[in-house]
Amino acid sequence: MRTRIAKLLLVPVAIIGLMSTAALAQDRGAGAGQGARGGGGRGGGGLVTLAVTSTSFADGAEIPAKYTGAQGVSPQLSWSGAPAGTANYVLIMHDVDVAIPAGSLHNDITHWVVWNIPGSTTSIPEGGPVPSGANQVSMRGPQYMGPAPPPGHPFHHYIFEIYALNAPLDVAAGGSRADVEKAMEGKIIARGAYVGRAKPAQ
Amino acid sequence: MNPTGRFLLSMMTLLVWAPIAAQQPGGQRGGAPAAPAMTLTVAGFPDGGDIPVKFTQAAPGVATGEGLSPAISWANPPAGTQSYFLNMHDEDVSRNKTTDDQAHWVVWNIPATATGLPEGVPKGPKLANGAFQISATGQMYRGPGAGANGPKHHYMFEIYALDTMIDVQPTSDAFETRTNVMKAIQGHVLGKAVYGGLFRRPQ
Repeated sequence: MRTRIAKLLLVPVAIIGLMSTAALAQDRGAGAGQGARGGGGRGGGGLVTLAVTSTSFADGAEIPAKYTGAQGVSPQLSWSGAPAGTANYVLIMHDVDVAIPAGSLHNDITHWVVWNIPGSTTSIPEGGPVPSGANQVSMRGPQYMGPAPPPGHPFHHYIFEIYALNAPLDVAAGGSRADVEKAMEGKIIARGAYVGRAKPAQ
Repeated sequence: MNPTGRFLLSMMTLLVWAPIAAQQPGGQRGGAPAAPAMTLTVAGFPDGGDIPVKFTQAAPGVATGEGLSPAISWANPPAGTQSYFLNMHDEDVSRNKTTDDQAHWVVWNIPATATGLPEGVPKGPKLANGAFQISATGQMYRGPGAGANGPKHHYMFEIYALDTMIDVQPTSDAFETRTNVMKAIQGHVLGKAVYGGLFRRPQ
């Protein structure tokens, strides 16, 4: 029954037409460094893309061993292009190759979350420390957790996401990634990513 | 699927879950050797490399928001896999000030017998293999389209092996649909594999 109703509703041309209108501006505007409107009643905003860089490894490349495993230190990260009104930043590093039954839509491995990074800060040096005023957490506690894919796995993908927020987060030390992500909703005015890959240690 | 079949599947799910749940992340050390992990490959560019223009919105003759989908293949599905879900998304976009990002290709109820998707999947509500598809553009693959003036965007192809087909119908909103799919797969993920590419429009 549900299937039949849904099929009737799926008048393809109408839907495609409607959705195209809503979607067109989204990813193009992002590259222009302007807060292009999403248009089509989607509310727009938040479409500035931050440029994230690292001196530790090339974007998309293998993460050097010094940054991996239990002894690994955090890589250097810089970002730029934040819009006016940026109050602070959040960094979320996660391993997207793993799906754990966490009961959350972000059911992967949390390697590093740093929040309430002051808006005047645009980098984190290799090995830290995290900027004054910021807090951090990972699955190992208040610290960076280096990549360590399980034996037999292909390369895992570690996304370093930097979010520019228009207000600080009311999440105290000891907060979780879920707490941070929940508090971020509605405050994100720019975002950028950097990707590294790691394979199991031999 | 009839109710009895669904019940049997959910019972099978319970049986296969325990060993799989033990693999991640606590089971990373010690224990019996795990089955080979699922892998995902996208043809035409190396993992972590630049996505060729031919698969993007910048390709000649491609309408805005559309594009030629790359051939995608996967291997080593976990035992008990009943369907696959592909989520291709742009990590560099935040929608409406939230952590939601750009939906480039959401394909679900890919049959368990499939080991990939061919290049150039046609637009339409369903693929030849019966799977549903949707993106921010509509019922089609949305090629990468990051602007030339900004940084490269990061397009992640993520494949999930599920222990069931999922009961989600597309709505007129790709983001709502993707959220519905993500909710429906909770507790049904047997395995996952990822491949990534970078792109911005030529300067």
